[in-house]
Amino acid sequence: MSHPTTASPVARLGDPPHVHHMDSATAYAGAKLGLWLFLATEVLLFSVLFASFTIYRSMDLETFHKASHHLDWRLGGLNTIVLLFSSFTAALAVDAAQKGQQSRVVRNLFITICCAGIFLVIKSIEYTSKYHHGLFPGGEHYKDYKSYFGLYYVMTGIHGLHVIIGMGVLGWALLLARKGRISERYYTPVEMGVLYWHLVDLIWIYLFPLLYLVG
Amino acid sequence: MTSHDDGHGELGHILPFSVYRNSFLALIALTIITVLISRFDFGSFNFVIAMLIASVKAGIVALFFMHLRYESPVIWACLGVPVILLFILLIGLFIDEPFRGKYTPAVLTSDQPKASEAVNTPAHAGSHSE
Repeated sequence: MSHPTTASPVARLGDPPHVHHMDSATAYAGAKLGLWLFLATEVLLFSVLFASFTIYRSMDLETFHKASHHLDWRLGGLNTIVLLFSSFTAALAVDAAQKGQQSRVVRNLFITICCAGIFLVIKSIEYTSKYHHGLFPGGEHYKDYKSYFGLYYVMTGIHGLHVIIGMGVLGWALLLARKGRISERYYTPVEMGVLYWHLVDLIWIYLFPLLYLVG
Repeated sequence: MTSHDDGHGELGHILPFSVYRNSFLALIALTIITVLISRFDFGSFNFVIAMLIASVKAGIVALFFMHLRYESPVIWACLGVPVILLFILLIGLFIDEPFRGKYTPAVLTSDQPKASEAVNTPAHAGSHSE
């Protein structure tokens, strides 16, 4: 080496990756701030949809009430439980990462991803049933509830897209953990993926009562 | 690479398992409560109560699962500012919408009492609640 180095410790698996111009703690804080800023934009995105739903609902309460009865609150409630549990296991995955417990990280991330899959299966059951009842766009009963179902499909659709993306992000964190690249010194990918996943859960916490219960 | 040892784990607060477990149980309980309350008819209060309980659940997820309770004020602002903007948006919508179509130029320049001249667009044919 041509330049003098402070004695750098032997690189171990699970070390934070080298980032130019900052130490690993700053990189971690920067990543966290960046992710929270991104979550802020997600909140703004769904805020607009929620505001639209609220105002259209106040303009035509009866239609919204009748339309919401076409939704099965038991399936929606089941999905809520599934997502809440997945948030629980996701939080435990970060906890395990903070303690350097690799197999526990992998296990909890895996359970979280499975829960996401279950959520999507239940969602597709709901969508299919809507289709068979003529409540899909273009279906025979759709035009009676256009204002409600237009928002329903956009809101649950964009949320479902976020679930799919979340599965990918958490899957990537899972692969990193399996390779041993996650440790108590470096678990940024896990925590960032889990924070994103918590937001997906947060959105559903509001979607469920809004769409299924209050109507 | 320097390690920042604050005694609690180098990078962040490590919470006891009970915090996660109790938060999860509280979330489940609040979900059940939300569903049960929706079975009763409190009129327009159903909406308010459901949203309030949902906000409590969201608070639990944000504060404990997302560790927001232990984060810096800058991080708090990332969640707080969009929420404030949402409220401003809602306030703006609910100030504007109920009066749409009611005060047309014909109404405003006539001598007739304004209420009886209210123009009803089809969008307003439904009932207004809240």
